[in-house]
Amino acid sequence: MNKRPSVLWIEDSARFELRNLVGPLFFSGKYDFSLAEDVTSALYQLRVKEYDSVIVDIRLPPGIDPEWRKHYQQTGFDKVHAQLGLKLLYWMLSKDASIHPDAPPEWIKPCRVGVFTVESRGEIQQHLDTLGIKIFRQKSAGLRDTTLLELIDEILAQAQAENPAPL
Amino acid sequence: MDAKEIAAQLARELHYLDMPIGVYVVATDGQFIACNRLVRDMLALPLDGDVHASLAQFYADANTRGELLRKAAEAEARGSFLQKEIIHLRVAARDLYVEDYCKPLRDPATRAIVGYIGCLVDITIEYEAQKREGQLQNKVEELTFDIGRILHANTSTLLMAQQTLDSVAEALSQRALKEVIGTPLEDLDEQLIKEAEQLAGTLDKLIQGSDASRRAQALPEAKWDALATKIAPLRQVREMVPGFEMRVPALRTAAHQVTVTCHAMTTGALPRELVKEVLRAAAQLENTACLADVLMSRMAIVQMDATLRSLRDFVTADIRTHEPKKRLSVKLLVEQTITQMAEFARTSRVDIHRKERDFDVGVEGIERDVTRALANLLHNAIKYSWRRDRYKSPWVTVRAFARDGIACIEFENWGVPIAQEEIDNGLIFQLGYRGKWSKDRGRLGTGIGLTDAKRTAEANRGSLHVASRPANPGWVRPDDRDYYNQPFITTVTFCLPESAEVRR
Repeated sequence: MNKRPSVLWIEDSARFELRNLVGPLFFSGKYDFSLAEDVTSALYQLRVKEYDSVIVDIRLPPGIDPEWRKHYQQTGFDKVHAQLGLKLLYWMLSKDASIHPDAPPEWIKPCRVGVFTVESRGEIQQHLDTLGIKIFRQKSAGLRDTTLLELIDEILAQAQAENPAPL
Repeated sequence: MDAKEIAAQLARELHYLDMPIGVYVVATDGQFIACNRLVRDMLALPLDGDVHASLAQFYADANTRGELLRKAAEAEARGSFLQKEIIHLRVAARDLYVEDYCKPLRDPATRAIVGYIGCLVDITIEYEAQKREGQLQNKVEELTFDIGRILHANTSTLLMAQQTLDSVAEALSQRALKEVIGTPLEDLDEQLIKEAEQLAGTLDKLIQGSDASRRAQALPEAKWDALATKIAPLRQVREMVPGFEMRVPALRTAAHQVTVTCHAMTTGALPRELVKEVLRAAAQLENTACLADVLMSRMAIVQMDATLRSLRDFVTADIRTHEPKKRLSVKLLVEQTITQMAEFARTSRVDIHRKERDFDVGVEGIERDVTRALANLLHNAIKYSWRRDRYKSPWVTVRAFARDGIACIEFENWGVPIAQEEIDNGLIFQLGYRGKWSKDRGRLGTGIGLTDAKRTAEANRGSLHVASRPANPGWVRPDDRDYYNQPFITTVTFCLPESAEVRR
C-alpha cells in the first residue's frame, strides 16, 4: 500500500470557524494530516517530520517560543499586525536567521507550500513572489467544505510536477 | 489732541513700544499710527520707520472690525476694556490667531474717540492645537456613541441567536434546555464516538451483506469506495480526529455524506433493512453532532455576549451621566456579580462556590463601575477554569472578607496559568493585553477586564491583586517546557477601603 501524503496545516482557527473544512479531510482517508495551531508548534513539527504539503495562515499566534513571542511583542501583541505566518515563511524559505536562530529543515521548498489566509492576494503578492510561492487561497465567508482538500491536491500536484519523484 | 500726539506722548513717557508684547495705536479708521517691533514682525510690516497700513486689512473676515469696535465700546461703558478677544488675521495668505487687548483713545479735552490702543499676542500654535483637540474630542464622542449603539445592536442579535439555538438544542435532544446544557461535553463526546462506531458497523454490514453485482446496481463503484473509506475513521475517530471541536464537524459531515449516498441508491437493489439501519445510524450521529455543535455555538455566544456588554459599558463610561459615589454593601455587590454571571457559568458548566455568605461590610464607589469590574473578574475566573475530575464540574470560589479596614472580594479558579513575569511587570493590566496562556481560541477576550478592574479599584482608593501558582507545587520544575501546561490556582482580589455605613 502506498504511503499517504503527509500534510501540515498551520492554522489557529481549524477547531473554530474553519472546522467544517477538516471533516472531509479526515474522512477522505487520503492524507496523513497534522495541525499546528501556533508558530512554535509549527516549527517543532516541521523539524521532526518531512511534509509533502504545508499550508500556512498569515495571522498566527506565537506560542511559547521566546523568539516568536519577541516578534509578537514588537507589534503590540496583535497577530493581525504581527503577521507571524509571513515571518515563518521567510524563515522557512529564505532561511532568514534574523527571524529565528534555528536553521529551517532542508526539505522545505516553495513548491510544497501554499498560503491560506484572510489577506487578499494583492496584499501579500509581493511576498509570495519573493518567496516563490504560487499557491494561494483567500479565506472568505461561505467557503466550500472541500476547499482545504482542493488546496492540498493543488500543492501536491505542483510538488509532483516540479519534483517527479514519487511522493 | 489727536491720536498721533497721544501716541507720541505715551511713547515718550511710558516707552511702551519697548514692551515685550505686541503694542499698537491705530486711528479710528484702523490706520497704524504706531506699533512696536513685535506687531510689525507679526504682521510682516517694515521693522523700522512709518507704517503705511491699516489693521483692518489683516482681518480674515471683513465684519470683524465692526464687531470689535462694538465690543470695545461696551467694555468701556462697563469701565473695562476689551481683553482676550481672539481675532483671526490673515497675513500673506497665512492664518494668524491673536489675542487682542484694546481700548479707545479719547481726546482729554473733548472726550471724542481719536483712535485705539491695544496689545496683540500671537496664539496661533495654541489655538490650532486647541482646535485639533476639540475636533478629535468630537470624533471620539461620535465614535463612542456609535460603538455603544453598534454593540447594543450586536448584543440584541446575539440574544436572538441564543434563543434560536436554545430551541434547536431542545428539539434535537428532546429534553429540557436546562438538562441539555448541564450535560458535560465529555459525555456528549463519548456518545458521538459510540454512535460513530455504530455507523461504521452498519456500513460494514451493508457492504459485507450484499453481493458485488447488487452493490453495483445500487451505486457506482466510486461511491462504494467513498463509503468504505469512512469505516476505519468512524471506528477510530478518537485517535484519528483529535479534539472534540474537530470531531463534531468531522462526524457530522461524514454522517451527512453517508445519508446522501444512501438516498441515491437504486431502490430494491439492496436489502432494505440493511440500508435502513445505515440511515438510522447516520441520522442519529448527525443529530448528536448537530446538538454538540449547537451547544458549542451557544457557549461561544453567551461568552461573547458578556464580553460585548462589558466592552460597551467600558467604552461608554465617559459619556454616561455621571453617577455619584455611594456606600455599597459588599454582600450585595457579590450577589449582583454572581447573578450577572450565572448564565455564563451555567453554559460553561462551571459552578460558583460562594464562601462566607453572611459576611458584609460597606465600601464606597460608583455602583455600576464596581459591579462591572467584579463581573469582569468573575467572568475571567469562569472562562479560565479547567475541569478537575471526571465526575465533578469545575468551580470558581468567591470569598469576601475584610482586613485592616480594607474590604476584599476574591475570585479563585483552577486552570489557565498567568505567567509570573506578566504579573511582575504589570503586563496583564495593560489595556488590550491578553495573557500568554489565555489565548486558546475558544476563550474570547478583549484584554479589558483586568485593566478596568484595576482602574475602578484605584479610582475608589482601592487596589487589585493577582496571584497565580501551580495547583500542585513541585510537580513540574519552573524551567520545564510543561511548567505552564499544568493547572494553576489564580486568585484575583479586588480591595476597597471599608466605609462606615452599609447601604441596606
